[in-house]
Amino acid sequence: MIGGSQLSDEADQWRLWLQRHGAALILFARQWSASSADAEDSMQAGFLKFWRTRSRARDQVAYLYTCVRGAAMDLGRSQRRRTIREANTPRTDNDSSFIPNLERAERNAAIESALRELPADQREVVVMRIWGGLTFAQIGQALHLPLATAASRYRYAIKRLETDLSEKEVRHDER
Amino acid sequence: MTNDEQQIERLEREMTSMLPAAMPVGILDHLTDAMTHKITPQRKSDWLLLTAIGSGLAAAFVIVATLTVQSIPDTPAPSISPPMAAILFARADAPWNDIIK
Repeated sequence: MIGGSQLSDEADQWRLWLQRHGAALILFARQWSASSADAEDSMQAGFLKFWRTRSRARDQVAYLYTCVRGAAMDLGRSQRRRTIREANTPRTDNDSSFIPNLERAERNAAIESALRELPADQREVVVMRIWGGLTFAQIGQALHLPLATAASRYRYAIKRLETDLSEKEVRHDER
Repeated sequence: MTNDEQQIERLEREMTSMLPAAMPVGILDHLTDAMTHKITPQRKSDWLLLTAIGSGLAAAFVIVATLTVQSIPDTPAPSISPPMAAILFARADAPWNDIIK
């Protein structure tokens, strides 16, 4: 049983962690969410699940990502059912998931667009690695994959992003 | 390092420089509250569910107990008390013929 002060210390540590990495966690949840608000809800639901069950985790950060992923997928599934019921509801939230950078707006938009076009299993690995800062071992643990698979999936995704972006640049230059 | 590898490295650097939209402060406060209070909303709802189940069980116990007590046969009530019987006999022995006439 964790004592009150020990619990408070742990909560302080996680508060600091969330201040630094919370945005990446919401970006991760965004992969399965229809809107930023849904991604935030999923992130909170996932974090609360993680907090209640964190004692069973081997690597707490990897387990947190697993919990957020599960919460986002659950919410995404229930929304798909709702969308089917409410047929033809347009997706209104097309906002960027990144802080705007005026100097590199066009290039960043192209990267974000290419990222959206990646298959979900590759995209999640890229988000976890680049913005979450997870190691391949942690990614493997979070997604229940062997480390080598996580690493090769990442390399394949980056290569594909690079190719897509180069092709788009060539098309852009030809116009 | 090949040209391909250089391009990939450049892309990784570019992506790392893209900062995800900040997390709203309200979320951090909400999560901090949930962490520092041992009973989270989920736990509260668990307790509510357990209370409802407990109340249902208690009500079921009371109903079963009431029905059981009612089904135990009572001590047989005396059909006619002795003084009443005496009155009836007395009335049976009355001179009915004279009264009817």
